[in-house]
Amino acid sequence: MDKNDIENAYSNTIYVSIGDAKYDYSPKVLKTIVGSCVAIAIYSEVDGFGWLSHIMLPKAINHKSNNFKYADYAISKGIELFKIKGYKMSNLTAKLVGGAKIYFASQDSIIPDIGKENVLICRKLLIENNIKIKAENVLGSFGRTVFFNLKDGSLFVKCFDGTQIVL
Amino acid sequence: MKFFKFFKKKNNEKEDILSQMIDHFIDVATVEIAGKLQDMFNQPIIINNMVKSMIDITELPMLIGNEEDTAISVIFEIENEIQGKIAILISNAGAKNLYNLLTQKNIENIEEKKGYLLPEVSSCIESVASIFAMTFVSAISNFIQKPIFTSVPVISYSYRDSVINEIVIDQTNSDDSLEIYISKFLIENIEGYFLFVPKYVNYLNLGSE
Repeated sequence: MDKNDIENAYSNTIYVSIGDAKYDYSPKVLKTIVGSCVAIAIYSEVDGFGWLSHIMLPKAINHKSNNFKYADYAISKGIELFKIKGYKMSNLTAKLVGGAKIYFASQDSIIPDIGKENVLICRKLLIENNIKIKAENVLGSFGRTVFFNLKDGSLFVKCFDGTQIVL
Repeated sequence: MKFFKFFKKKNNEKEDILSQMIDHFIDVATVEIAGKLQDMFNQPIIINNMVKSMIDITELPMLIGNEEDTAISVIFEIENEIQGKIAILISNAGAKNLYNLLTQKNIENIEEKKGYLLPEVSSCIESVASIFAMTFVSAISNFIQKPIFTSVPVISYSYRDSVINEIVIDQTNSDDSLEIYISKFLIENIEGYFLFVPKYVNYLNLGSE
């Protein structure tokens, strides 16, 4: 998916906000922006159904309610959705983007390096659920804009330092 | 007896009164900030009263610009009787204008290289943010006659959504919604936001029996 494709597909783009998750079918494009958060894209090549989640934290601690900002909750709900729709986990593929450390400070202890933890828990939960992780663009020190093209399951990643990657 | 309550849970009248007192202290603190900035910039500064809102975290980015716009935040953690984070949030253009106004220069680009702020711009924004933070904390600390400690500043420069996320990332574990005090400030043509995200207040220590 190149830049022109993205621009052409703009009218088909659905934005996934902080701590949210959305799903749709081809030819839609799901978009999100991550820093230390992680974008989890799960895709079915069979019919172009895809789900994109923007998780902020690995898991809830002493938390009673449910929310997509937590990796454990988001992934379990995503899997539930695919199961309800009749997909086999082994036929799905996942891609991860994000988990960066975007802040600069001489003493950075006040903001935990949550990005790495987010990436690790996402990998663990996806593997445990038999979903193959096909590609990743994680860690580093830049925010990333992610376009998830449901036509082919590709991720177009625009990094804050100007680099662009297709996963 | 000592007890701690999360700031948003007001189970009795005393806590309501103390919560209102905090709101009042915050209002006074913003007036003091305006005064300090006025001295620094030598011109009128507009700072709206901080409005306390309970918002869903997904709505927070709508505060400023569009999702892919660039933004800068400077975050301070505060600890002791009042805990949480205070931050200023400013757009890329706002940061440039702030730097130019403060130094009387006319730079066009605030980046050293793509993705990295010029050190002098970073330092300038941190200085202004420190005035917000220190004035805010000392005003409240004076009122409650208790110390409040402030961390060193942490600066984030990235896409708006990433930057905002850094302000609230570890405040959201206690609740799905976020209690946040928001104030918009205007210095000449520079618009920005001053935010306070409380964790909790030790009510019993703040109010006398």
